[in-house]
Amino acid sequence: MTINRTADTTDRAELELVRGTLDLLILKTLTWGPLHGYAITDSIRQRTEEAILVEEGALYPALHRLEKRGWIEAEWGRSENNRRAKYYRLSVEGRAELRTREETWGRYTEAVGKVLGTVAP
Amino acid sequence: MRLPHGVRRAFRLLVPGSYRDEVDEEIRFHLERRVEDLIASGMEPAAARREALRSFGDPDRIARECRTLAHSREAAERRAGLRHDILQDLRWALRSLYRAPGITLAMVAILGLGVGAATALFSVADAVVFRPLPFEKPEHLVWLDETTPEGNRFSVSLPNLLDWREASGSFSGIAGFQLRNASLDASPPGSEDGGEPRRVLLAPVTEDFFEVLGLRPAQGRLLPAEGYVPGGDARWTVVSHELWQNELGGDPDVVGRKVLLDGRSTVVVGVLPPGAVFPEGAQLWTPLPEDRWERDDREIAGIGRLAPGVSIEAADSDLDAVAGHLGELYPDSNRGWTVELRQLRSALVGTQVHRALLVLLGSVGVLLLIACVNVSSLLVARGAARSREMAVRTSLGAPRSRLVRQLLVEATAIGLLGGLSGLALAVVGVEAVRGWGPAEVPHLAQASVDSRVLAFSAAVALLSTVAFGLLPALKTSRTRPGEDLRAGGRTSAAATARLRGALVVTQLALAVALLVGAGLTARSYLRLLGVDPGFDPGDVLAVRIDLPEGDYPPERRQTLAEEIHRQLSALPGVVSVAGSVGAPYAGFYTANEVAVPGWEQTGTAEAEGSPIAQWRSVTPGYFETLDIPVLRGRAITSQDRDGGGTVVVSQAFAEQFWPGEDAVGRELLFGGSDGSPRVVVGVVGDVRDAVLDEAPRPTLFLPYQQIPWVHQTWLVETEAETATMAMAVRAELRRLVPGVPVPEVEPLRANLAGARTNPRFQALLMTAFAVAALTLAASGVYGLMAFAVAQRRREIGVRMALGARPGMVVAMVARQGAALVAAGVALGLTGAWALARSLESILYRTPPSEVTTYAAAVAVLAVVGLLAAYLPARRAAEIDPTVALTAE
Repeated sequence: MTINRTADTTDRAELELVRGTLDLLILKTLTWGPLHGYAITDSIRQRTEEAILVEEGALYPALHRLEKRGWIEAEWGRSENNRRAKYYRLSVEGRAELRTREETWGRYTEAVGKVLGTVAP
Repeated sequence: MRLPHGVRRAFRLLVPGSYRDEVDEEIRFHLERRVEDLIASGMEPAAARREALRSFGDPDRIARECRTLAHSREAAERRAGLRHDILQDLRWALRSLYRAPGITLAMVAILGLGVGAATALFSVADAVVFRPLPFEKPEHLVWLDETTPEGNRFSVSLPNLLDWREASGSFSGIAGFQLRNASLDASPPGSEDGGEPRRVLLAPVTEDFFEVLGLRPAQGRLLPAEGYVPGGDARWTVVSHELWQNELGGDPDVVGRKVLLDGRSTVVVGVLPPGAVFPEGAQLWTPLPEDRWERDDREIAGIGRLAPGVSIEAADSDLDAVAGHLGELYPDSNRGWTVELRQLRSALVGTQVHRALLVLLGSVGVLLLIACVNVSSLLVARGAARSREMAVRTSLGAPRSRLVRQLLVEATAIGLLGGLSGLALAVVGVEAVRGWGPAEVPHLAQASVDSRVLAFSAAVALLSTVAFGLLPALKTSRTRPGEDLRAGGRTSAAATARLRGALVVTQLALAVALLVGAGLTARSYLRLLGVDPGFDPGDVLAVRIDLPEGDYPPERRQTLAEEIHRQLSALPGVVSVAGSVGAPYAGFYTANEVAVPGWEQTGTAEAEGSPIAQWRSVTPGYFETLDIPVLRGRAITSQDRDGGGTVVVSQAFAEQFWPGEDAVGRELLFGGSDGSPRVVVGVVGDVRDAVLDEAPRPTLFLPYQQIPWVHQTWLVETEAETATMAMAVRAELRRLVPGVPVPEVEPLRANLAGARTNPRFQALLMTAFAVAALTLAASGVYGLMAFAVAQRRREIGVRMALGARPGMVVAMVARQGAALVAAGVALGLTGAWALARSLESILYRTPPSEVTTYAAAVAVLAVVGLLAAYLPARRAAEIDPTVALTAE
């Protein structure tokens, strides 16, 4: 699945789907511990084999949105090569949110997979 | 170590707008890392930068998006933080108030007292003075009086009123009315018991009365369907909402129902809306007969509605011109008479009551101010004791604004608690005022703690909070952590004491003003108590009956009066009996023009018209019953029969018209130059029976047999005025006049006491305010001095160790207190003079500058103030040097 992330060519439903997917991936990535934005990008790109996040910058509005909801918290810290970087970590609420979303996602993909499996040859 | 999540959030410093740079920095970090990684994987630096930007997307757009999100997040967090902080402040405030229950209770009680008194008085003033009358555009309504050639207000003659209505263009309407007693039997027709007739207040009104007031019916109509027919034969009535509810049982079919009014069947055509009652007390309205009035029968009251755009002054001069014209047309009855216009509200309330209420409102405002200053001073003291706490919080990084906010939240908590207790006090207070207040104050019964009053007291409590809370908050929050922590709060004591000293002086000054005000009103009341009314109301019972004119023609009234006199005299325990038209202080006065042949009015160049004298129609026994001395000649006796022309005059009358001569045997014309001639048969002592605080009015006493009016007031002097006697008199009267309502028989003393109610009420309230103010000011002095002594324990200990005697220590501390009192008195006397001047109009024979009152007020304040300072001083003298020096 490739996703074109420019606002003019993406309809609303698709945007919601991307956002939801990206949010889920960010929350999941942060279960490993506090990470800065660049590290999150790399992690997601590697593990999805660059299928999601065609445009790396799209990560940052997503991070701000999650922070505003209180699911992740930000704190400035020192990066591996000792530079100032903004680190994100999962909040208690974020952890709970991740659990519900994982369940929903599981049920959803299973259902969609079943339908697609019966239609596809 | 990681702090738990909640703590970190609480301590996070929000620097407004910091997100701008942070977003840029974060994106820059990302791009740089990407470039580094690409170079590390073997890409050319220039190509690496291009690739990094390409894979990132448009950094400007993304940064914009992020900033918008960050901005709204920050705003939301700030709001949540503020809410959280204030809740925390409130919790802290309540906890710290709870930890010092004594001082908290004191502050709440003091504030409650101030707010309560102010609220109670406001609700009275609101009902009486401020609330608009329940009529359409009440500011356009005026009260009309005629003015005698001597310049005294007089009631209005209907023919004159009708001519004013015709001739003047300044009014959109003029109406006349009367108010009299009537009997009402509302029992359904045909019912066996017939019911007991009730005494009601009836207002006969002219055609456009309701139109002038702008009243609309709640039910039915305000005129009968066939239109208004002037004259006494129309048998219809409009009833008040209250009468409909109470006497007619809220009957839904009341319109069209027939009732017996003064024994005659009368149809109810309409019901007025609730509260729409004018004149005050009226329960029913009927057409005023317009055809049987002479021009000099000045027996009705007039109201008018000013035409749009016409001022009251313009209308007044317009009517005066009309009156001047009428004076030329009808010189006998109208020469020299003019018209006076007053705003309806001020005519109803009366300038005296109006001013008295405003003075009381001002006084209660002063009391509230004292309460605020007192609480303020307590807060300053509390703040001084907490300077350590403030210093600690400042050094931990709390900004001053945060401390001020916390202290203001504390003050608000006190304000809320004080306001609530004040409201409770006000509810009780209004009840008390309604019970004890002067009966003649209109709308007093409507005073209640309603939404307007609630809004007022909320505003008062809130303003008070700011007034008493801000200064201490600013003072307490100003800390110098280094010094305050080391000194344990002692260094700021001097500044605090100065501020508290100023607050205490303010309280003392305000208390002086209230004391002087209370002293003046109390003296005025005592002087009024000392006024000799000229008659003795002791053991006299009074009851008024109103005979229906139709059933009791003049001859029947004459014989009835003789019969009642005989029967009541025969009751055991009765000393003497008299009947009269109107009793002393019963709100029924009669006056008429008098001409005395050969008498020339002195003082004025031109004598216009005839002088007016008060008169009463009395039966034999009147002077005996009231212990009015007969000075010359004889009293009214049974020889003064119908058709005769005799009169007894008061001493004031005799001295005015026949100075230095014997009045007995002289002749006067009752009713002016064309009145009936009467021979003076006796002179009696002067009587103040209408107004207590004025010189006795010249009065005529005419035999009831010659002026047999339908109103009869029976005065019964008894051996001992008891409830049993009152019941016996009432029972006898009911037997003698069946079908006529006989109200409760009451002691005449109650009437006289009623005339003193208003001054007594004012004096009581002023005294209560002054006592409260004095108590508060004294507690202020006491608190400050006790505080000062506690602060100076060590110093006093040193002095005593070095040989100071206890007397010297007492003198030292007391001197400080005396200085406060002296400053308060000096300041207060100025304020007292201002208050006293505003009291002038309600004082009886008491000049506002009366020195003894001021001296007494100062003496009381000095004694109380010095006592309040002496108690802590004595405690200072009891300090044991060894204990004081080894402490800490």
